[in-house]
Amino acid sequence: MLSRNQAPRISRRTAARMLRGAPVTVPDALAGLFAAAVAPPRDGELAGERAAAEAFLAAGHRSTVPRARSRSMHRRLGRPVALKVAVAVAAIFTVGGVAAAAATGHLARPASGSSASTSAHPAPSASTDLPATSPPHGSSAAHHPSPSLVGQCRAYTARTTNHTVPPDDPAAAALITAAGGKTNVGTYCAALLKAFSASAGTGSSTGNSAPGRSAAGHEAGAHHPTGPPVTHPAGAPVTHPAGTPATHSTGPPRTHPNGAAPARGKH
Amino acid sequence: MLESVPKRGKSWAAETAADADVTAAIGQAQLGDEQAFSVLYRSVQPKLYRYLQVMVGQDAEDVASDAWLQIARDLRSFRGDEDGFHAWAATIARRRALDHLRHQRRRPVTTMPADWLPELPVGQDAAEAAIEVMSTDAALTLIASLPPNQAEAVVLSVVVGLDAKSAAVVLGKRPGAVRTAVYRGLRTLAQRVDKPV
Repeated sequence: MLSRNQAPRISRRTAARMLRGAPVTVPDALAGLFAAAVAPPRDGELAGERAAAEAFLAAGHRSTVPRARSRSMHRRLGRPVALKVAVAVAAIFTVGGVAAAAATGHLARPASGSSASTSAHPAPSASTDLPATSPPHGSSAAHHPSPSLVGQCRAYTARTTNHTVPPDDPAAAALITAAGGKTNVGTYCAALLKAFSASAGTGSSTGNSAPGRSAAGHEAGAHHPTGPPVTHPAGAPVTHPAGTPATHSTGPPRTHPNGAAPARGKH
Repeated sequence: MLESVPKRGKSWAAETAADADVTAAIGQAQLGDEQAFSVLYRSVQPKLYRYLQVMVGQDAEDVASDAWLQIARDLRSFRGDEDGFHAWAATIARRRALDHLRHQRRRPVTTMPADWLPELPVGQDAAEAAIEVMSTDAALTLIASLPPNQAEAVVLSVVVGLDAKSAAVVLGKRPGAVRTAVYRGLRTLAQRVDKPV
């Protein structure tokens, strides 16, 4: 046992054990440092998930994804439920389209209540019951519900505590278009996922579905359906004096001409 | 007083059930499963981000984005398990970081002054206070204050969770050199944490 007034030592053996992955015993001070260094993810650390997912899809994985996913979804939910989900999703997408127009602020709470599907909202749409019909607004092409968008929303809502959409991120374009605008993504995703989980009854993504604070409060129309104050599930007890890890507008990704296999980085 | 430390790099990972499936997720993602890719991202990204924070400071997010573009693009070519994936991803991240540094013509910067180790009470309770007080940023800043080769070796072993052999591959060194760098780095860190002033 080390005296506390003595500078803690770490032995070569301890370092070697650690490098083998064996549990090690280190002085308190280093234990604290290690614990802090591997603490749960901080704000912003997962902010690039959507961009990464888009890159994943863009890398040629897209062709296999929808079929595989829809098949497995059918297996899980069964056809009737899947159909209901599709209806609900179509309804919510309609609302999403309207949200763009409803920039004045009073976005009707979409999908409030248990039956997420039809008619409770003042959307100027008569077609909330057919998944195939397109919303009445212009950019309808992107409004076709897809598992990919649901997945994006799920990741967006559940995994990021900061819901700012990178303004110039091309990867987010589809989601932004579907939501009817950058500032609507949080609301849109919350509504979409709510409908999704309400219809499916799985409640898989319930806990984290609260839309977080979104971009700097300029989001007048963001009446979040759930609206509780944001709590960070990570619960990291630390403050981040370095601050501002988020709101970091990443420019268009650079491309790197060098080859595929990551050879050892010589430098 | 001594404290046992969980297996390197596994602290938060152990808490997420999804992480158990990382190896499976690699295969599924290679077949095009977007959700599996998401599992990979959430498992690996915090580690990569922190590694990059030690290397490039506040540009870690940008460099991580670059790295993920390549990871996504080249995923199909990867062969191996979870540990191998971490090493592979770290290698890509490192190359992006070195590119970045070459462009920026500067060596690692930290997001705050290296002597930022605030309000740690000096004396008897310093160690306990360090455990409670130290933030991830502070820990990474301390690591980044080491000589670059030691800093990289330490963060790869402690945060990314690589063993000496894997870290050696990432760094392009011999495992023995990595062990020595980690040892020296940890020794210095222990002294600095103990005497934060």
